[in-house]
Amino acid sequence: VTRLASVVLVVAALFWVRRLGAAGAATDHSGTALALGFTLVVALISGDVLRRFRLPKLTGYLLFGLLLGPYLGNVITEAMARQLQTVTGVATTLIAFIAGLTLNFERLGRRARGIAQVIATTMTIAMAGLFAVAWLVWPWLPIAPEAQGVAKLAIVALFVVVVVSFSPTMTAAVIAETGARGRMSDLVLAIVVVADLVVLVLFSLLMQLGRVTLGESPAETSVLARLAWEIGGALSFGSLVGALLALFLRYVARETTLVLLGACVLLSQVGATQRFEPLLAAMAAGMVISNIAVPQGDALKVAIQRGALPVLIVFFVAVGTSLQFHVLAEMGAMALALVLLRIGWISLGVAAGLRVSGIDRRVGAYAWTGLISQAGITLGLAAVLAVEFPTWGGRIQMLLVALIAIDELVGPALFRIGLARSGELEAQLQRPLVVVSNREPYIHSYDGDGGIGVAHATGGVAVALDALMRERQGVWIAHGGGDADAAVVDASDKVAVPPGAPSYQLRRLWLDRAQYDGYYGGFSNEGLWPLCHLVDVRPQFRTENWAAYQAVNSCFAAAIDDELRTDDTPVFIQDYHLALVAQRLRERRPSARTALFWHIPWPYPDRLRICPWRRELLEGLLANDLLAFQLERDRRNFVLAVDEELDADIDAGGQTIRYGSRTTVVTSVPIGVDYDRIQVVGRDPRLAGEQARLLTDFGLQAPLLGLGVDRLDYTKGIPERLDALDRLFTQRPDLRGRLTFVQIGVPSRSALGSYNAIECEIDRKVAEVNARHGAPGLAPPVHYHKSALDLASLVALYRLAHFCIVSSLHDGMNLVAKEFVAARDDEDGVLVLSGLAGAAQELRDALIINPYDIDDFAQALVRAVDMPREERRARMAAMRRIVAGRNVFSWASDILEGLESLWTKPLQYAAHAPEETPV
Amino acid sequence: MTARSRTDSVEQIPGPVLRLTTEQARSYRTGGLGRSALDRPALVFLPLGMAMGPRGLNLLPESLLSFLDPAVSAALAAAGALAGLGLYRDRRREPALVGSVVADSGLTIAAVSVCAAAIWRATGLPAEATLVASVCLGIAAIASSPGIRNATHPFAPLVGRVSGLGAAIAIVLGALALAWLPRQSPAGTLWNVGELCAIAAMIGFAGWLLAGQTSDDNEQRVFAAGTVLLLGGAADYLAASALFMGLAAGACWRAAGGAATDRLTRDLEYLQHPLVVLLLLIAGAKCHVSIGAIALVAAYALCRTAAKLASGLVISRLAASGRPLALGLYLLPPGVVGVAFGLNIAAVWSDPAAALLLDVLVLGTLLAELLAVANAPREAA
Repeated sequence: VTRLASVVLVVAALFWVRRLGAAGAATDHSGTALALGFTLVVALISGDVLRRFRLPKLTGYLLFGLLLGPYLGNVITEAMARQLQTVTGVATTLIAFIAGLTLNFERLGRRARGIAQVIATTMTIAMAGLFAVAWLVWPWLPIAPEAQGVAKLAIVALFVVVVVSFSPTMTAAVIAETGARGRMSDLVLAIVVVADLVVLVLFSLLMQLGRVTLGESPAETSVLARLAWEIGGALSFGSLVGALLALFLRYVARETTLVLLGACVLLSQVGATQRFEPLLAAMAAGMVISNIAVPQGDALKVAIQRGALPVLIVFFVAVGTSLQFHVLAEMGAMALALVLLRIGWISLGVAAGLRVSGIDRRVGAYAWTGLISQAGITLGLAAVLAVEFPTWGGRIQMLLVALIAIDELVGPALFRIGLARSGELEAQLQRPLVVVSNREPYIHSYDGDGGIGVAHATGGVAVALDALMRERQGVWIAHGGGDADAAVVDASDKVAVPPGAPSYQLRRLWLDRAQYDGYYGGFSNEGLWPLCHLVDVRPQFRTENWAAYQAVNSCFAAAIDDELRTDDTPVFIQDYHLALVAQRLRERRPSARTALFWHIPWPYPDRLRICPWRRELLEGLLANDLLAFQLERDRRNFVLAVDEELDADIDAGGQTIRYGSRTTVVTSVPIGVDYDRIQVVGRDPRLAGEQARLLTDFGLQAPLLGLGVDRLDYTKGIPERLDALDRLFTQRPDLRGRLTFVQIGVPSRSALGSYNAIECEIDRKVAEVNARHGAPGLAPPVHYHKSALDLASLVALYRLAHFCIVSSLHDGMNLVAKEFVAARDDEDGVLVLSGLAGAAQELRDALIINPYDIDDFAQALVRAVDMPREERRARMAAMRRIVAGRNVFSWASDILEGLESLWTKPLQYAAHAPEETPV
Repeated sequence: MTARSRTDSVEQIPGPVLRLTTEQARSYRTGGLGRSALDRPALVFLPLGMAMGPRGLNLLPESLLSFLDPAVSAALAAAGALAGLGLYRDRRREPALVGSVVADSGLTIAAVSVCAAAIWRATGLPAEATLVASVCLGIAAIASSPGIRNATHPFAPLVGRVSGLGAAIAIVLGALALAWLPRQSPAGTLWNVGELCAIAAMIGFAGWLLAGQTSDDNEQRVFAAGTVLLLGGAADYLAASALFMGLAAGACWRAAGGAATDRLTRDLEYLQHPLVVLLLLIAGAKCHVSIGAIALVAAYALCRTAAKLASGLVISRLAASGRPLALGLYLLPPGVVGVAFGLNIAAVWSDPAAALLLDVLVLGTLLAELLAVANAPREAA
């Protein structure tokens, strides 16, 4: 309904503008931007509508162009369509560029010979077959029935060559739009590119034959030279542009979008003026970058992916507007017969080619579907025929226009089906997923009456992974920690979740108490946690805990092995509790695909040496295919540690590590929050009531509120925060009674001594601050609430707070900082953020503090209290854009797509795209 | 809902487009001698455009420039939209600030227009064209880009708000001038501007709805780009101000708020830098250094500088007690809004005076930027 309303608004605005323009100063040239904007917005929605009917979006764009174009609806007028066509030159070049980037010789490798055989066989059979049919039915074809002998031979040959021609642009565009990757996509792309080169050469030679035998046009003696110029010049020019672009990306790497667009304009304009084949030049430029400057190619692909969608939309709509409906109506029946014949002979040719070349039939079974589309090249050749041989060339052109119209509508749809059947569509990413974590997303517990209740984990990561699992389905494997967990599972320890609308399975793992304590409380939280955080708590490593850690990791690996139906199912492992799972899994399934996200910081090598089992940990982590950290700093520390501890090959950029027989991609992907969900909670009308309730329950009367939300952990810097508040109230006594700081503290791991100690210290400091700065009748300086709150209450508090403090002594990311920002759609509030939290790398508009420098910390609090509204707004607005642009779902999909791309598009995954300069 | 309820005083802060100089300064910082000159994009890309244009190396020939016209419309709309997104409401009414910025605008228009009219009349330009071109030049001179690169500088918010409000005033006055050109009646002009507002609101609302209901980054980007193209395209089709269409839509988004506004802002900022570079290159390429233009450039830059310095004094007294008397120095850099306005006029006004106006604005912006660099307060960096 929203989309429909938007379309109505846009169409109404368009008609209004056209009405006013008709009365005023509108010129023929002034509609381009309007047509482009209308096209982008409405065609995208049309494509989406068709997607619901399992048709490619491209067909939606084509139909949009056809239905609203000048030949039918005339919403896009002829003048606007003409303007649209001017943009398609650049679009076509960009599409060819994308195609070139996907053609990597290393990937084609040994198959190049086989591909050449497929091309040769396919073209021979298709041309021979169509030639035979055309020869036989020639008297009934409305072309030149009177032609005989050599003349007939020349005309039929020319006709057949043009009929067989393909459309590299359409093929590349379908591949780009669907995100398909795999051997069939490579095969089809290679066929259409090379085959069209062959078609161009054949056509030129046959034109010579035609000129000589038919005598309608003088023979051109320099045809080979011209051909060499067109093809050779295009390849040379494209290679030069590609090399320059690679150099630019390597040494400058800024304004990539603009420079790429400029390169496409250059290729398209110079190609047209110098008679180079722009398509070939652009493809050559892409191939140079993809094959010679691999890292730059990866970076460029990421940049192109951002901008490809609008280009594809404009291109296909422009093609749709140019479809001449009246020609189709006139010659539709004959063109349809020709389409069927063409499909038949091409599919026969591909099948024979596969047999001759020995390429796996499963790879090429649907390759013919990618050879159906026809567009610009066919149209161009037909136009040349019509100009040079007006008597019969014009008739061929009419028939070919109808043929192209059908092929354009049928081709993309067929190709998409072919890609889907070959398993190369993006849809393959929708395979069931296995998520592995220590903590489970749903906990079943007995209530007081003996009934069983279920609680949903509320953490941002758990919520995001739960949403991902609902969509992808599959199995989530976790330790069953609820007292009623065992009562609800089936014989294979699984329960369908979410309750009420089950969409995936939760597999619970049962660990005995001693084993769990050694693995979780011991090695993970007394050893790894303080090891990875630079705080004044000594890591404790005990042999029995290490044994428990190994045993539990093996249990998780065994459970994953049970649940994996196929080796290519992605396994997404969470955090430091499960560092050895991939290694143990590989002992059972060497080809499993695993990614692990390390949520906490990774220590620098000197500190890592504290751990007696550091090499085992590093080896365990390197058993993953993809290993992701929060920050670039953590990734670098990990690579340094591997370099020091293991005999591994590390590539120049430290992105891939080869250890033993395995290669691991190491990257950094900062996690985000569920931004949209927080917006929904923030707009809930009940939120005002919740705020009122919290103000009453917590007894908050002060006009200024500060807020801290933390697990009670020694890494969170809560004592330092209380010291800074103490200093603030000392320096600014006027704030006594006017400011209350609300500290939400969620007890965790209380059984461990270090956690128990920090809880006691916080209790003591809160009491001291309140005693020192509180007074009867005044609002207390600190309100300490020692239990968890649900998201709605947190959002209510975030929006009440004048400032929020995150003062971690060391933190992987800290999602409270991002949640606070996400909750402030009023663009108010100040975030006081520790520079030692990972979030400070992104939220640079926060007031960055050093929690160890109490004076500086207190000064930052003074600044937060006194900050003018406009500065608060500017800072918050800047931070909101960052938080909105990187939510927890994009984090998850980045990692999973990265994992998938290691198989489907090995060179596609770039951990770090070149930064666009933010302005 | 909360104590943080909004009131109704409309002000400006250094919104994205108005932070242009600040942020681009970071992007183009080169270090060492001449850094402050290269910090300013207009100083880099306008001469580059002139060198690459049809009167230079012809790397940007006329055919390519006209091919890029749709992108110019979109860039203008995007710049306007970002200025509109910089508008916000604050609980404190500050009529003094608004009044003083209006006074600044009036002073600048008067100083620059009178000087320009005198010189143009002396060179024999027809009276009507002289009047229109002079007023347009005065309007373009209002805009300034905050000359403080350090966002945490204590004067940054005030300077940003003054600059932002000045840019919004320049865009609105420019739209009125463009609407007046073909109609030449106050009622027709106001009616036309009202229609433009309504169309911009319709397109803007559609874009806002679409941006709000999709979570796919690619789709969001397409909707943002499509909306900006529609705004720019509509203005182009109607020979109206694309900056104003963008401003109106941006102000609507600002008022509507929410995640959709955040997304649109993010996507526009992503598009902004390439589009601004494109604007400056194209403006440079279209500039023709003629005697007529040169005659006015020095006068334009000097009048504008004098007006801004005087305005700084007025604003310091009226709206910013305790602020520096040298506030005007921070308002000297003209930024890109004036050049954008010049391109807008050149696109819709077919009179030869429009081309001359663009020439003056391009050269005048260069000179004014150089003057700003030469007079930059030490602490502004």
